[in-house]
Amino acid sequence: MIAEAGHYALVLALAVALLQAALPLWGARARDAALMGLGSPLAVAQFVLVAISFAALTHAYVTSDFSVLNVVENSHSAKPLIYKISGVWGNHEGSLLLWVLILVLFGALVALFGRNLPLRLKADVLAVQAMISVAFLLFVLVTSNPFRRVWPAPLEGQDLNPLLQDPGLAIHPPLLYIGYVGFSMAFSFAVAALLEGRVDAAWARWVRPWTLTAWLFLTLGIAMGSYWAYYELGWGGFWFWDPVENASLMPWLSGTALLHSAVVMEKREALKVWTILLALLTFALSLLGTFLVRSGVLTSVHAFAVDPARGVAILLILSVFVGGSLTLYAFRAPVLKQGGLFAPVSREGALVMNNIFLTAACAAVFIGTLYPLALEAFTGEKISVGPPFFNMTFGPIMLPVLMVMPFAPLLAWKRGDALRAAQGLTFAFGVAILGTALVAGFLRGGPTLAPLGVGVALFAMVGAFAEIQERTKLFRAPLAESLRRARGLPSSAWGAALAHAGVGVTLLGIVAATAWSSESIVALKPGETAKLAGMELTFDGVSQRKGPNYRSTIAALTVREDGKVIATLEPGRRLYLARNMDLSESSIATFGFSQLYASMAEERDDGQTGLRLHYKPLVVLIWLGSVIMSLGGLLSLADRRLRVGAPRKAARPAPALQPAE
Amino acid sequence: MTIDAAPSFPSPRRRAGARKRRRLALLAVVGVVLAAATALILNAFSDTLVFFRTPSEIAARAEAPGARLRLGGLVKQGSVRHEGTTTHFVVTDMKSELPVTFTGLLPDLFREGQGVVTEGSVGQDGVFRADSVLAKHDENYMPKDVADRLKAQGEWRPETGGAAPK
Amino acid sequence: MTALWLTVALMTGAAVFVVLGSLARRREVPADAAEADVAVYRDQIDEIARDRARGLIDERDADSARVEVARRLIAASDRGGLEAEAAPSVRRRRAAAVIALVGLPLVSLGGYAVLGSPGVPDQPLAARAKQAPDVSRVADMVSRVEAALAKNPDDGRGWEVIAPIYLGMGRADDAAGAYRNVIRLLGSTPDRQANLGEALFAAAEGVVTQDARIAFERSVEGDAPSIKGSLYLARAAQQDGDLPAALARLKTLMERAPKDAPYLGALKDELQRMAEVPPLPLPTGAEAEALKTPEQRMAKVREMVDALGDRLAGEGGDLGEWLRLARARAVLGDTDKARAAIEQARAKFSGDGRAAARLDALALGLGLEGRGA
Repeated sequence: MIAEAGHYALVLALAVALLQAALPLWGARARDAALMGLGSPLAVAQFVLVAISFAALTHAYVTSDFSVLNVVENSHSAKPLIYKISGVWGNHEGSLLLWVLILVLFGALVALFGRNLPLRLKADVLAVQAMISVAFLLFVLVTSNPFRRVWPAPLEGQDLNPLLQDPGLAIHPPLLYIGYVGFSMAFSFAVAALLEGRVDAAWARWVRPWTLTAWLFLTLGIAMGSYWAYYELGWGGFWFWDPVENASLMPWLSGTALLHSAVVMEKREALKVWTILLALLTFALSLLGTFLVRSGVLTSVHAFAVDPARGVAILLILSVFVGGSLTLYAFRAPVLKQGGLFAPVSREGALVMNNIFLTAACAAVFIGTLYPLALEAFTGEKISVGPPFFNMTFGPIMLPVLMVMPFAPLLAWKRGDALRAAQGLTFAFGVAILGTALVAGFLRGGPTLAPLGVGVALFAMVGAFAEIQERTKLFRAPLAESLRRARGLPSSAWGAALAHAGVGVTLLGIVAATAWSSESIVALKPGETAKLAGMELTFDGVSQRKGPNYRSTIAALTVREDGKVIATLEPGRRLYLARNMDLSESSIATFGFSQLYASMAEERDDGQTGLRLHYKPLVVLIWLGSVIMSLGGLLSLADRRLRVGAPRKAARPAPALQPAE
Repeated sequence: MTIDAAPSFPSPRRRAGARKRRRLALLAVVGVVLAAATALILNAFSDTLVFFRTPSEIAARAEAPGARLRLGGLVKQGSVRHEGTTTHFVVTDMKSELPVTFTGLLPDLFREGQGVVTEGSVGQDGVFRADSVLAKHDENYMPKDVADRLKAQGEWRPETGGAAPK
Repeated sequence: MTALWLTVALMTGAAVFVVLGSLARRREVPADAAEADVAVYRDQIDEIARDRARGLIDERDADSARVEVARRLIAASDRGGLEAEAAPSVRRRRAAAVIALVGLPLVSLGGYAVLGSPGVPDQPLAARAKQAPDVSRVADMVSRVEAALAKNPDDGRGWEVIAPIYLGMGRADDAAGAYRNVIRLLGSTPDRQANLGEALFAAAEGVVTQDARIAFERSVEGDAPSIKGSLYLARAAQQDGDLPAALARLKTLMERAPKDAPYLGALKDELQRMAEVPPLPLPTGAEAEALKTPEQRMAKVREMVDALGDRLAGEGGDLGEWLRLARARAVLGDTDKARAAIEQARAKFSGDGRAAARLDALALGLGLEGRGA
């Protein structure tokens, strides 16, 4: 009963979404407040229905209801509860349902909290959101229905892919999806603006919180995915330039560009046409990301042929939304009025540079990811574009972004003074030179360019706070004065500084962990010792353990430095019984920001055990930097300016802004 | 890309001039960056593209020794031999075979009779020296013709694969 | 089923009500749409003033920024008049209400009619475990699987599911056929061969036939021989009268078994069975009536066993009596005396291979010797 009620709720949500896509749009064209006002209650109703549906599927997973095909294929009664729940979105059908749930959640949030939005804009935005959800609900119901039933029900399920039975991957997809789907808000706002034929500074301000939310969750999601790959896949790498990863990196790059160009639009009404285009493209890339991962097309173009219904539906959705919005853009963009003028050296100019290079970097990733697919589809020739391609293109393109990053906040709007900005960065520059010199002087080994990388990272980290220092007159005015000014700074200024510093921290982690990591592949007998990065790792032997749905073999290692035990490591291999799949489980010891990493290969007949040992200096900074970036986004989101009109409205005499519902 | 810049100066004629100049300057910068990025991408492509081959294709084409390739196929039953951390095995597509050596830890899903993709080059002695054996999602990298041939021979065991993570 | 339709009706009704309720709500003539823009620009001007007051920007910058925002503010205010909303139209509202009232249930019920399976109840695992395997349901399931297999006889997994159920239902011939299909379609494994043999054994009413023997022998080939196969091969050797061979098999199994192997119990039972110990004649009739309490019964049994021991030690007896004594001693917990009885019997029947095998089997089966000791 519960499963079928969930199924019906999903169909009903589709019907509600159809109404929401049509009625408010009609109202907006006819300027009928009653019809426009339908958008909000319908959006909330749609969210409630999809939430019921999602809860019903979760219930089927938790109670191991094997009369639901999706549960049979992805769950097992012996699986721990957390993986029963995460199993809901650990598969194609369920993850699409989660995608829709987040989409309608955003719609409901606009409905409930977008009280300061003009009625027409809000009606248009909700209608466009509903069109997206109509497409996805149809896709889910017709080609990927998670509520398909089996009768008679099998006695046991086939279990979730063991690779996915990990706490990191339990929360990774929701984070990533909040990011992907959040950009649908920017898309809907952009389409609404094109429909209205008008964008202005106020529009940029209304889009900002949604874009910022999407961006910060996407940042966390990517970082989480990278950390998962690092410890779960047993190779000690943190980024593989795998198509799945690239699919999430592309919207991040264009989303970052969007965030910055929207600032220019809000302050100066410039870059309007470009910002709208970025908003459309960012969501297009998010859609592409969702589908690339979900359609199996990454594996091989032929996977498309295996399930033609799904493949065609995916192509259809992509072409309707990307093609449709770009066509609308081509017709309506020229109507948009143009905005403020600025000199090449100015805050705007710097942000344009940021946009150009981020877009170019995104294009490089795009080409590297999709070219092999296109080539295979058209010629049948299989090629692979590996990390070397991305290292040769992405790095050089991103370098100017990193170099300009500390300058931009120091430049004035309209016309900036490069020299004064450079003076403001003297300290950061000094730190960077010193750091480079120290690293080059004291650290042996590693690529020759690595110390320079450390310098750039330090420059970004310290330079990020130059604007704060400038605006609070720190070291130039009395401390009390500086503190007073610091309190007066809008939290978005702190947010920007923090986010920029986070980029530097991540870069430092990447440079250090790549250039000075040490690796050793050994085969040891119990009692033997391997040496790595000044530490001695003694192999104590192998033991067996039993988990809820797996058996594991654990190799115990004692780590000593100067004869003192500083850590123990227990890498192992797990045999998941339901799928008869054998996976390695790495073990990590953290020292400060550096990590010692061990994974186990196989026990061999000669009594030796194969072990892979890594020492990764400062590797934690990679993810710490991402968290700092997200914190910066959060601070910026807390800026009171984004809440214009909402709380203070009541105090004003004219309650005109409350849109009637 | 369109960058709009609007005037705030009084004279209409000077406005138009300033707008045109600024727009041209911006377009020039964008053009230069785009050209540089394109050059970078093309250059990287020519240096890093790796073709995917099956053992019979390598046998048929007589690939230049030393050229980087990806080799895909099945690990032949009974061919895996360990020697310290070096592993010797034979990759087959049921028509041709190619001996491979690899030093390092093998990925989780490496086992006899299973699909494998390795990257490296064929040496003078006809042995494929792999410097990587794919670990991630590797159960999916089965070349289609190999998969078809294996299915035809009843050697296909999809249940040991599983869905791609993420 | 009723509950489902009730839920469906409730949800649909609520969704329709959301639309009608919103349409019916009285609303004031909406304010001009540009008001929202004006609020943003006012805030921007306030912000410039705040920044200026804190000295974050100088007067000249503040002025030029203020002028720019003011221009936007004026533009937005001007627009206000142009964008006044049209008066609400009753006709449009009625059209929307009709669409919601008719279209919503039409789409949702129509869609669900195509996609849903309202007749299938939830089957959470906990609820299924509680209810005992109902015979009619098992039969129902079997007939469904059989129908599916008739359509697609090459579904190896289907055969593998149904084979043990056949065996459980006593349809041993069908089970054997099903296992043969499994092996043909999915390939031979030791477990599958052992299962086939077991089904053939059951079909022959407890005799290891030639076919069954071949299956069992296949099941113990290779690196991971089937335990079940070995047990049945031992049974086969026994059946042929080759007790030493049967014992040897069981002994190897015993030695290789891990300490906590689940099949150890079955192994010991099989060994004891092999020793063919005649039962101890227990008191019957009036004599048994007199023994009221368990203690009294135990004492009586001890007395009888001691008498048997004395008799065998004095005048000797046949192998059955010795075996009976050893087992009785072991059951009563006198392991040392049991062991002594086995030793004495071994000495007495040293020339007889068959007797030695039975004694060994009993000693192993009782855990007096070997790993269980």
